[in-house]
Amino acid sequence: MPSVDIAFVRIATSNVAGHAAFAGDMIGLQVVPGSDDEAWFRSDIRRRTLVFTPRGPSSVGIALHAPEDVDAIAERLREAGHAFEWHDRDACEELFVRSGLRVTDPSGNVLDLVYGPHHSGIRFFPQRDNGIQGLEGVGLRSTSPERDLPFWRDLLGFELRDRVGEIAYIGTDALHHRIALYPSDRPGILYINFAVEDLELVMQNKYHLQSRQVRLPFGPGRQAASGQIFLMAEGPEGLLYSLVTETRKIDPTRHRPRQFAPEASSLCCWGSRPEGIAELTV
Amino acid sequence: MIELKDVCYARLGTRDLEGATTFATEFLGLEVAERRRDAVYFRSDDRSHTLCYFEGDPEDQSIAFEVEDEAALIAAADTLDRMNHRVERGTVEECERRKVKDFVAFLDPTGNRIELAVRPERSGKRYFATRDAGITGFSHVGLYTTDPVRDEAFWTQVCNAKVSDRIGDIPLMRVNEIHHTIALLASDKPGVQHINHQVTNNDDILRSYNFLADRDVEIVFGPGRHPTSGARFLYFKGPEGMVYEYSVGVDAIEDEETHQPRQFGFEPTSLCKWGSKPQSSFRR
Repeated sequence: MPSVDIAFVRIATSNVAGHAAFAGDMIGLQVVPGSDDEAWFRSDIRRRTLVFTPRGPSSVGIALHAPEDVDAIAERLREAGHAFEWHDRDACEELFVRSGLRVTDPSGNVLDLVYGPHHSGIRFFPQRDNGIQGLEGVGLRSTSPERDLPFWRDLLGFELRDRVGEIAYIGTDALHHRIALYPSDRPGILYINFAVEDLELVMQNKYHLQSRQVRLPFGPGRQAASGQIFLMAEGPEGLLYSLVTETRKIDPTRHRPRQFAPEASSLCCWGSRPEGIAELTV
Repeated sequence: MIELKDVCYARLGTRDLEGATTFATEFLGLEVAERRRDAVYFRSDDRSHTLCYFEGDPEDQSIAFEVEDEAALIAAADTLDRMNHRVERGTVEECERRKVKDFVAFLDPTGNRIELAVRPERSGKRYFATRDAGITGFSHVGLYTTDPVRDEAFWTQVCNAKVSDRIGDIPLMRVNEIHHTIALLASDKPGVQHINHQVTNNDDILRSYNFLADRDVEIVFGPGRHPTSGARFLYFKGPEGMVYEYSVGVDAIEDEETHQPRQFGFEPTSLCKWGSKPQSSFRR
């Protein structure tokens, strides 16, 4: 089972400026110059990890560590009759990757399976002391995680790690999960996980964002299944930035998926409750 | 010099013993060690009791420190006597009510009632909390002072306390390697400002924050982290205005020889490095 990273997140929006202001001024991601009508940001050593673009669709970039791993996925998709498209040279250049293909999950989430996302020679330097270390994962809306699971597992190579009710946590390596699927009435990116140094920084971010009137609909909290400490901040159009730390490492050869009760304490064992987010209200 | 070993117990008068007991157990999470007609004793660790609420005036508060032995107690009484601090020897009945072998009581320069106790009882039974707050024990107090400079001199010259750090005029003083056992906060009259219990880890702090806030207990400061002691903390309101604190990870002063107290300015970031600010109800 090849391990993956979440290489980038692309958000298609008519409000590039609003998103850019939030990602830069509030969250404090580093601006990457280079576009007139898109807003680009980075969160770690990679050249670019977050894009706001007027040109759709939104997509999540999943990086494989060898080109053969992408080929293997293409093979499985082909055999399953699941439509996909290789990115041509121009598309790869636009995505800042060496190669890749685009596929849509059964719910309609667009995924770019890529090899060789560009790294930068320049160290990451945030706009404020947010303690961000990098893009760690995403939470996706799914119109049926149960129906979607075979796609993620058999075609893309993810493993089911744990469930909370119908919410599914999936991963490929020792990190408990990189992607979580939430039952919803539509596809889409629910939240973007950015790893921060430790609880110190999660709490500093809480008070800083609060003082800047940012809505914090969930957290600080700790996910029962993964031990992940999180703080969610709401940006434009309901896009959630989740600042996380202490996501547990598991032994993929021995971990068996558990079923957590669909109760609030399964999503946060510290007792915090989500406010106004249907997908997080179990 | 009066050698204080550790903080020992707090005794608080209350007009509502039932209400105070409910708070101390269901909210704070302490264990009831003993119920008497007019007093309830609470445990937080392996000591027989570390908090006692008794029927009486809420302004009737005492904080006790343990001294080494009878000889140390007599020496302490002597020292205070020679300084014209009135010292009261505990009667047999009063000792029994405090579960100690012997004690003397006096007023600190502000007028806070301090007791020096010998041989405080320990329980044979393990501590078992009323709720899962993760409490490991009663750890320190904040006291009001009408003159921080004068009182710091009392605690550090007449007693063996040492200043670990200061925030404005607030000295944080230790009597052993723990960063502080006594904090002094300025006010116009005496009183106990807060009572601290240590908890096991950060999760306990965050859990209690949600637990207490959900039940409309007033959170007066935190969750936060003190830059002085490094401890992660939460302060909340208890009965009759008493502030209770949970904290974890109080620094130890490793090197007595070289530690120099730092001076922090009196501003919010000196009290919390995460950015939380105390409510006005945190202190008088």
